Parts: sequence; structure tokens; C-alpha cells
Amino acid sequence: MKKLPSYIILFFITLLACYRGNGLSPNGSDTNISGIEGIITFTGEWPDSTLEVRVAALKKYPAGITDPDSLLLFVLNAYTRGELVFSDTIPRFIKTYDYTLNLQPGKYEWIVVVWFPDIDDYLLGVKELGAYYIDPEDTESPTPVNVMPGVITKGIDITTDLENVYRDSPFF
Amino acid sequence: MKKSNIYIKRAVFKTLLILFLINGTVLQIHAQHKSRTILTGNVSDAKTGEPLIGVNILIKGTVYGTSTDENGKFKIDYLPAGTYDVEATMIGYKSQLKKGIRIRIGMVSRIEFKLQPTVLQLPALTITASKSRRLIKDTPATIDVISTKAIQSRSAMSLEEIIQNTAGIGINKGQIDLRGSTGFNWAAGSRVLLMVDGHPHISAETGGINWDSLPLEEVERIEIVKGAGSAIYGSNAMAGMINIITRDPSKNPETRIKLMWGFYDEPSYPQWRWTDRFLTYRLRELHKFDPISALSFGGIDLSHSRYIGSVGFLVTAGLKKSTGYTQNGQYIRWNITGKAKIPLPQSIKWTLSGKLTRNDRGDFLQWLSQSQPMKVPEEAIGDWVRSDKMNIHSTFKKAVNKNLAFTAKQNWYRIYWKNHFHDNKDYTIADRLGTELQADYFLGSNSLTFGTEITYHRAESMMYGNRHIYDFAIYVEDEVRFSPKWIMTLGTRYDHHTIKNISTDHQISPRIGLVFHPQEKSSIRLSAGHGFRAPSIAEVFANTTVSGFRVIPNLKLNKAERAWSFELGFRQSLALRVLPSKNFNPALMLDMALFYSRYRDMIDVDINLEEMAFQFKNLNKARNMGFEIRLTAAFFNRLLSTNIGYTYIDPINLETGKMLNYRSRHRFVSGAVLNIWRLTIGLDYRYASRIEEVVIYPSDERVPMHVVDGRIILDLQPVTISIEAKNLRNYNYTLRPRYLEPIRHFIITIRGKF
Repeated sequence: MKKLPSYIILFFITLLACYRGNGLSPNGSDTNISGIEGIITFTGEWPDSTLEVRVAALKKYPAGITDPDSLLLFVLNAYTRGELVFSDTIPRFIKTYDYTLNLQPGKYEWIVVVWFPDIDDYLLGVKELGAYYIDPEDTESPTPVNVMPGVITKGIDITTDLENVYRDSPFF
Repeated sequence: MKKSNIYIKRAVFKTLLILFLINGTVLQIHAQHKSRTILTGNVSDAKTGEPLIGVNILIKGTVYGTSTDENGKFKIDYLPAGTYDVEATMIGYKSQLKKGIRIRIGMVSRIEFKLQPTVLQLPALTITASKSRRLIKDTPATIDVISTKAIQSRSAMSLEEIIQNTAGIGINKGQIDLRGSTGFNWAAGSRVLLMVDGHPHISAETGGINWDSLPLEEVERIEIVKGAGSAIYGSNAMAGMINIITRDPSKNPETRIKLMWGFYDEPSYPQWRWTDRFLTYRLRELHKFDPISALSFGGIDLSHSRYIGSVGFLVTAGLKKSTGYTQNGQYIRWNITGKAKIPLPQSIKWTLSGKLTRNDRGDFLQWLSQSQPMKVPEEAIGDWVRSDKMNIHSTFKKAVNKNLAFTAKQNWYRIYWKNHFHDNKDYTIADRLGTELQADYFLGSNSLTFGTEITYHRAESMMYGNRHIYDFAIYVEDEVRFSPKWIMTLGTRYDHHTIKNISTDHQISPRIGLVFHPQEKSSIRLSAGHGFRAPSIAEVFANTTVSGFRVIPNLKLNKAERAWSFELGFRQSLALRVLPSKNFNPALMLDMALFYSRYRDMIDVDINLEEMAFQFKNLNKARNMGFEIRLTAAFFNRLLSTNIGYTYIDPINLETGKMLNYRSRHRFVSGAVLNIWRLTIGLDYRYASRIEEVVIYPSDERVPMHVVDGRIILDLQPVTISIEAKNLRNYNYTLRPRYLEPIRHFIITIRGKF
């Protein structure tokens, strides 16, 4: 009992010394990502000139912009601001594909499947294959998707029309 | 709308108006003209002879009492003639009782107290547990008191930095987690009622706590009462109460100044640097070591106090500025505080206080990534919030006779804030208006407290719309002293809560407590109480999106959350005799508590998967149980003081069987203070185990919290200089999603009192 104070001081020193490490480090994971996933259904025949197909998510929909130069500028601006995100390449010549696209949390007004042609200036030939509509019968404007932090929003299914690849796109 | 609701609202409005207008008059009606008596005296340290400031003087068995001024003197007017027992109590001193003091009309009675210092500095009184002055040892609740000295020994930019060193308490984005009562709810709702001088300091719209609008330099002490307090305080007090008690104006003119300056250290990993303004220690780059232009913070507080005639004034102005340690971490805030003590005719005491605060701060919602935790996403750079707060408190006190006293309180708390975010421009103006009339009646062995309270909440907001909440309550509590060994507390409160056009709810919250003193220095306490918390405007109506965090309203959230809480506690003071000199022997105080709470309709944030949004919901059932052990010890005539607190909790969602979100199962705090000559050396350590359950980012790395703070204080009366290092180990941890808590930083503080 006479040594009680010493024991208490020792107890403190031990407590302070007993833990190691600095806690979180840059190597730790914050892999619990946010994003969207769904099924892409490809209808029609795949064109032979297909270079690749990707899913793109844009924070803004260029409503009312139809001029090709303005659209190009809109897309470039979105890309440089980080408001346009592309998925990896989707396998070609298939009928359906389960995709996942990792995104920062936020509202995305346009989830769109983009077709790239196998030509020299392929960027000039990029076309829209289809976009996400909550009601496939109502394609007046794409349905916005809210991406929650740490949540993969499921059911963002898109139906594409490969037969219409050659038509003029309001985008790209 | 139901007819009964209309009647209730009309009644609430009328009563509110009447109480505001005639609170003072009510008191005057009860005032009685008596010939003047005066009880006066002084209190000093029995060893040094120095006058003691802030000693509580109690006239036993009556409503009368006061405290000593900066000269150690006290005076009580208009005490009815008779014979009384007078007690002087103060933290760190043995209480002294003077019996048979005769008070005669037209005479001045004098008493002199010489208090013997004790080894342990334990508080004796609380005014928070029952809204009235009570002995802590007779209160059936766990009570912590943070003294002036403890507050002033820490260099804090806000009060939460001081309170978080208390056993069983964690603070996460301003929300108080008292023994696992609250996790992280984005600052909406508080299960702990925070008060300033007994006036609720809960914001009208979120039901949360804004720490930047709390006084810091004017604080005399902080009382923390753990356990259900709804029986006397109503909503929000379901897990406990924290009462910040401000100092009174000093009798002699007094000016205080505090200057603070600090800087942030280098982050633990070079890749976390986001600016060149971090410090560098590399020998080859020693010329770059420049704490002046490092990320820094600082502040100045200036206060003056004096009496002009019979009116006492205390005015404080403060400015605080920080660059923060993260992107968007900067803030600049100023405040002006005033307090006046005004004697009114017929010995009515009126205290009027107010505070204005403006805070412009950057907003850091979540980090860019764990490899860049001090940066925000590019689009969020520059996001900031402006917030203005104003609160006015008014308290009238009148002792009608030796048995009966009235207290009338009014308060107004206004908040304005506006987001200046890249994707959100929400704003809110919110008001909380409250009035309360309380009576304290002492009769024989009974100490009765009863009263009525009316509160009106209003919010005008982009994210909430225009909303109104009306509350009405009546309460009564009695402390019965069956004998010096047995004390029982029994009380109940009725609350009526109306959210305009949405819902009406009412609660009855009973409480019973029993204290038994088997010996002079030990006590066993037992309590059972019902607590509740009504949903705040934010929890019901919030409708907004910020950086992907979408929150949607829940108009079905019309039930208050409720809980039955139980506590069994034991307290023992012990003076060990291990050394020849009595003064150098260690003294201990051990306090242990077992607690259990069972919740119904607990309100918590959840993800609405259909809407892909956050929403506040009523969970069905939850429970929380655990225990807490606190040990306070002092050695070698106060040369060394230590305290240890360990809290274990087991909070479970009874629907899912999982632990409730954002809780740490184990919490540990410890502190040691060494006093040598004019130097004080202090060390604090806080631990919280890894948060087990979260709402978002469940796969993110989470680590326990280990924080060590150290300080050295040099007392050169009237100037004090302190150097403090916070998070000494530069330990990196998060308490809420993707927000790195403060890295190591150093603070130099100079205080002067003239």
C-alpha cells in the first residue's frame, strides 16, 4: 500500500506507452466506393466499325444545347471539371452486360452509353446508344440519379439501340 | 386541424405572453415588506488566511443562500428574523457549519468561516440535478463538475475541447455522446440538454448544439449530470444535462485579457501535405522551419467587470481566427457577451445576459481520399458557411420568505446561417423562445421544486420550409430527507408537444431516486427515470442535397423517442494513512455506476433505399447498458492529482441485434497534474475503442482513438503563461465518415487579470 502513488504513476506511463502506431495511414483503404450498377441491353446488330463502348455519367444534361460545337465545348468542360466519368470498355458484340461505374457522391443528370467508331478521328464519330430512363416509354429527358456516399445504386438499367448508331446524336 | 389543438396553441401563446410580461410582477405580488435584516461575513483559508472566492453560503432549511465575492465576503439581506444554521462549502475545502446564528430586525449579524483545505478537490453542490441547490452526495445521479481552474488550465478554442476530457463523454461534430447515448447524426438532435446558467442552449431547428455560441472566458464551472433528466427538464434531457455556469460580475473593477496563438504540425505522412504552409523539420531544409507562416490559429478575449452603483456588469469581446489544418478548415469568429446583475425593489434579483456571435467557416464535408485526407473534392474547394447567433437570457429571483422562493426565466436564441457551397445555397433563420416559472419550497425535511415551462420554436428555411413547434410543460420534484442517511427524490413532468399541422404528442416522465449513506464518506444511489426527446424540425422536415448527401423529410416521424433508464451507483471517499505527515497522505474518491436504458422509437438516421437518400426514422427498440468507474486521487498535499475514468457500453438495436451506429464500446480518460513551485504540468489521455457500426462507408478503415495532450503552465500573478501540445503523438483517426480529426498542434496562451 505504501507504494500506491508510484503504482499509479507507473500505470499512467504504461498506458501512454502501450499503444503503437499512428492510426490511419495513406495505405489504408477507403475502398467502400459509391457509384451505380445495372444491366445494359444491346438491341439490334453490332456495327463492324465498333471500336469500343463505355458508360458515361455526367453531372449536367445539356438540355436545349443542339449546336455540335457548343455540345463539344460542354463535354470538354464537363470532362476537365471532373463532371464526366467514363467506365472501362464494355465487351463488344454481346447482348447484355452487367456494368458497375464508380462515381463520387452527387447528382448525375445523364447516364449514357457511348459508342466509339473504329476510325482515325474517332472522337468526331462518337455516338449515344442510349441513356437511363426510369420509364423506358418516356424518353423526353434522361432520369437523374443521386449517388449516395458509400452506396452503389443498383438498377440503373439502360436499353440501347445499335441500329441507330448511324443517326445524328444530340450529343457527341 | 383538431379543435383541441387550436385551443392548446392559443393557450400556449397567451401564457407565453403573460409570463413574459408579468414574470417580474408575479414575483412582486408575492413580495412582502419586511424590516431589513443583514447577515454578513467573510470566509478565509484556515491555513493561509487568504480570502476564499466563490464559497457557497447556505442557510440550512431555507431557500436563502449566496456566495463570497473576490474579497471572500458575503451578504444576505432580508432574512426573516430567527435562528439559523449557516454552512459554508467550497470545492477543495471541508464544509463548515455554524449553528444557532441569531438574526434580528435592524441588526447586522456577522459570521466568520475559516475553512480547512482537503487533499481532494471535490465539489459539494450542484444546481443542475434538480434545478435547485442540492448537495452532490445526496443526489441520485452521477455528477461531474469541471472547475474554473480546470477550465482555465486548458487552452481551448471552444468548450467542447474541455468537456471531452470527462469520463463517459465523447463529442462528435458537436454532438455529445454521454455513455453511448448518441452516435453521429449530422448534428441533428441531442439527447443531452446543454444549458447556460440553467437556460436551454439547444438550437430551434436542428435540436443540436452550436459550440461556437457558448461562452468560454466567462465560465465559472460546468456541471455534468448523467442519467435521465426529463422528469424535470423535459425533452433532450433523456441521457443527461450539462450546465455551463458563468461567473458573476466582480465587486472590484477587473479586466481580463487572454491571448492565444498556435500552429499545426506537419502531418504524419508527406503525401498528406496539401500546402507549403506545413512545418518542416528536415535538417537540410531548416531554413524552411517557419511556425509564423505555418497553418495557425489564434484569438484574443478581453473582458471587463465592475459595479456601477448597485448594478454589476461583465462584458467580454473575443475574436478567433484559424487557417485550419485541412482545405476549407479556416474560420473567423467574433463574439460579444454581456451580463448584468440588477437589484430590483423588494429584494428581487435580476440577471440579464446576452451574446452575439458571428462565425464564417469553411466547410469540410468529407475528404478526397484516405491518401489525401486533408483535401476536399475539387468542386468543394471554397465552400463556406456564414452563421450568426444571438441569445438573451433573463432570470428573476425572489425569496418570498425563508421557505419559498420564485425563479422566473426567459430566453431567446436566434440563429441565422447560409451555405455558400458549390451546389447548395440553403439558409435558415430559427428562433427558440422560452419562459419558465419555478418555485422552490423548503418545509421540514422536504425540498420541493415545481414549475411550468413554455417553449416556441420557429424555422424559416429553404431546407425545412416555415415550421412551428409549441411545447408546454409542468413539473414537480421533491427531495425528502427521511434521516441524514436516507434521502429520496421523487418527481414527474408532463410535456405537451405540437408540430404545427403535423402532429401532437404528450409525455409523462416520472423519476425516483434513493440515496443511502452507510457511512459519512460513502453513499449508495439508485435511480429510475423516464426520458424522452421530441424530434427536431430538421429531423422531420430536412430536404436538401449537399455533395451527394441527399436528405429527405419524414413526416411520419411524429413520435418522440422514449427511454426508461436505471442507475445503481456507489461512491466512497478514502484518506489513506501511509505516510507520517497527515497532509502528505493520499486521498481517493471512487465512484462506480451500473446503468441500463431501454429505448422505444429511438430516432436515428438511416438510408431510404427506395429514394436513395438519408432520412431520420423511429427505430423500434434499442437498449444501452454498461458501467462506469471513476477514480480521483491526490498525493503529497495536492502536489500530484490524478483522475481516471473508464466507461463500458453495450448499445444494441434490438431489431437487428447489431450495435448502434457510431458508438465506441470502451472509453477511457485519465489526467495527471503536477504542481511544483509556480509551475503546473498536466497530461491528459483519451481513448475510445474503434467504432463498430456505421451508416455509410462500412469498409473504410477505422481505428481506435488515442489522444495525449500535455501542458505546462507558469503562474506569475497576475499573468499566467501556458504552453500546450494537443494530440502529442500526432495520432490519425476519424470519428465521423472521412474526416481526419485534428493533427498535432501547439498553443501558447497568455492570461492577465488586472
